[in-house]
Amino acid sequence: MDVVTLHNVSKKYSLSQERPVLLKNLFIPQKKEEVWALKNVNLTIKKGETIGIIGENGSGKSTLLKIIAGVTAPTKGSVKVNGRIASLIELGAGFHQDLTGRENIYLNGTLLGLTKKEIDKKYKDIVDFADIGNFIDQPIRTYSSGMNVRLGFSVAIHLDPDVLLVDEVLAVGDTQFQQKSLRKISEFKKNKKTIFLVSHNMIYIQDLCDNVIWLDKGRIENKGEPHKIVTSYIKSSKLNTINKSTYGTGEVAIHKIEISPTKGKSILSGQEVAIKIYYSLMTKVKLLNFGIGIWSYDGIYCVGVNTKFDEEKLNPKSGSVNLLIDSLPLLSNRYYLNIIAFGENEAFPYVFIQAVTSFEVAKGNQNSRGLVWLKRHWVQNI
Amino acid sequence: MKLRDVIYIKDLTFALVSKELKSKYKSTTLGFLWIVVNPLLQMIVLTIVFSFIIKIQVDNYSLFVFSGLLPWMFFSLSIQGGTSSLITNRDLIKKVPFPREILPISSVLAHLFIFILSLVLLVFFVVITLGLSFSLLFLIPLILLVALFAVSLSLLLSSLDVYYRDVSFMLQALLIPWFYLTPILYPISYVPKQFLGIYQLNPMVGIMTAFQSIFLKENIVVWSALGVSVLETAILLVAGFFVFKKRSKYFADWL
Repeated sequence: MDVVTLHNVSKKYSLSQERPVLLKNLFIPQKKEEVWALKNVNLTIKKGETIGIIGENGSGKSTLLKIIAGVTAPTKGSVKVNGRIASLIELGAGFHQDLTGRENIYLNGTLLGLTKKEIDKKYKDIVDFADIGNFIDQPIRTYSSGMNVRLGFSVAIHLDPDVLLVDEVLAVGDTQFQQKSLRKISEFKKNKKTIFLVSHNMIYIQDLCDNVIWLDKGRIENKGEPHKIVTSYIKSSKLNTINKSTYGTGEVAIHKIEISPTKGKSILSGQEVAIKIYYSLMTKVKLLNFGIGIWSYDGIYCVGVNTKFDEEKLNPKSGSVNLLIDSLPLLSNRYYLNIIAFGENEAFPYVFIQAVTSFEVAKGNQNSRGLVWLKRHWVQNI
Repeated sequence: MKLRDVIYIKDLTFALVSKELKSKYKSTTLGFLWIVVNPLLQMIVLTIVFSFIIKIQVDNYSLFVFSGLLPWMFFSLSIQGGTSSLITNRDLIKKVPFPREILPISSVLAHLFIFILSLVLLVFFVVITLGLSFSLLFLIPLILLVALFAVSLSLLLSSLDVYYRDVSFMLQALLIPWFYLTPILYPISYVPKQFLGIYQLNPMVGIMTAFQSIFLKENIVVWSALGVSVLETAILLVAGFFVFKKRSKYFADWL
C-alpha cells in the first residue's frame, strides 16, 4: 500500500529584503527574490519501508520533511499521506516553562496528535520512559536540558503514528537512553511502520534503511539501495566541502602526502597501509614531531597517533616521515587525515592541516559493522 | 472527517485555551482575581472622574460604566490576542500540522472564559440589588454575538498580521478612538441626532446598548444598531474564514 505519495512537488520560497509593510504593499509592488527549495520531486513510498534521506546542507531535506509532515504546502504538485504522521524532529513543541511536566505531556501530546483519552492510556509509559522521577509535577523551567529532551522524546515516541520522521535526535541523551530510543525505533520497524530518517551519519543510514534518497539542490539526484547511494554520495563530495584549515607558526612546510596502496589498488580492512609525509624545514628547530589524525567522513574521530607519544626521536632535518600501519583496523568508509607538525607542545604546532587528503577503505570481506575491524576468530566450549 | 478527528480538534482547542489561561495567571500573586480587579479599578476611577469632575447625568453611573467596560474589555483584549495569536505561536505552526484556525479561536475562547466569569459576578450583584429579570436571558445570544464578532475579526486580522506585521500595531492604535466612539463612558442619548446614522455603523454600538439595557433594566437598546451588528458580524465571519483558509497553507513559510 502506498503510504506517502509526492507528485511533481516543487516548493518556492520568496525572500524579501525587509518585512512587508501593509500600506506600502498596497501601492507599490514588492520586488521578491525567489528560491526553489524543491524541484519536481516524485516519490512513492510503500507501507513499512524505512527511507533514508541524505544530502548536503541546503539540499532541501527539511523542506521535504515539512511538506510530508503537512506543516507547509507545496507551491506546485501534490502530496498525499495515508495515515498519521509524527515528527521526532521537533521535540517539545509547545512546551511551556511554567507548566508542570504532567501538564506539558498533555499539551505536547495533544499538539502531536493524540486525544486526551489516548494520552491518559499512555501516561504511565511516557513518564517511565522519560525517567525524570518526581520532577514530573514540577514546572519544566526547573528541568535540566537533558530532562527536557528526554520528556519531549518520550512523548513523541509514544505517539503510535503510521509514519515517523526522525533525524539526528536519535543520538540524544546518555548511552542508556540512546539504546532505549534505538530499541523503540526497531519496534516501529517490526510493526511495519513507515520511517523517514534524515541523517549525516552514513552508518545509521546504511544500517537502518531499506531505501535511500539523495537530494541535491532540491532535486532527487539518485535513489535506491542504501550502500550504493551512500557510496556514490560520499564519492561525489569533494574535499573542499570539508572545512580545510591550516595554521601554525611556520617552521615546517608540508609538501605532499602519499598513501599506499596508491589509487588504483584499493585499501582493504586489515591490510598494510603506509602514510608518507614529505616536508621541509623553514628554519632550524630543536625538536621535531609529527602526528596524524584519522577521521571518518561522518565526523567520527577514529585514531590519532604522534611521534611524541610513540617516543620516536626524529632528526630535525627536511625529508619525509612514513607511518607504517601493519594492519589497518578500519571498516569500509571514507576517511580524511589531519596532519600536525610540532616541537615540544602539540598545542603550538609548526603546522596543522585539517583534511589534507582522504582515502577510502573498500568493501572487501566485510563481515562486521561499526567502525573497527578486528583480527579475530571464535571459539566455543560446550 | 472521522469522529476521532472531531474529538481531537475539541481536545486541541481545550488544551490551547487552558494553556493560555494557565500561563497568564499561574505565576501571579492574585491569580484569577485579576480578572475582576482590573475592570473594578477602572470602574472606580471612571465613576469618580465622570461623576465629580466631568459630570455625566446618568442614574447609577458606576453600574452603567461597568456593564459597558466588561464587554469592551473582552472584545478589545480578545481581538488583540487573536490577531497576534499566530505570531505568538509561531513555533507550533512551524513544527506541527493542525488546523490553524484553532489558534485565533482558542485565544478568543480563553478571553471569553474570563469574560463569562466576570459577568457572573456582575449578574450576581445586579440580582441582589435590582432583582431577577427576564432580560438576563438575552445575555446568552448577546455574548454569542460579541464572541463571533471577535472571532471573525481575529481570523481576518491574524492572517494579515503574518505577512504585514504592522497590522497588530494599527489595531492597537485604532482601538483607542474606537473606545470613545462606542457608548461606554456616556449614554447613547448624548449622541447628536444628525450623527446617529453613521454612529450606528459601529458594530459595538448595538452590542453595548444591549448589554447596558440588560443590566440597567432600562430599554435603551437601539434595535437598528443591533441589526447592523448582526449583519456586519455575519459578513466578517464569512470573509474572515475565507481569507484565513486561503492564506493558512503557507503560514509556516512566513513565521
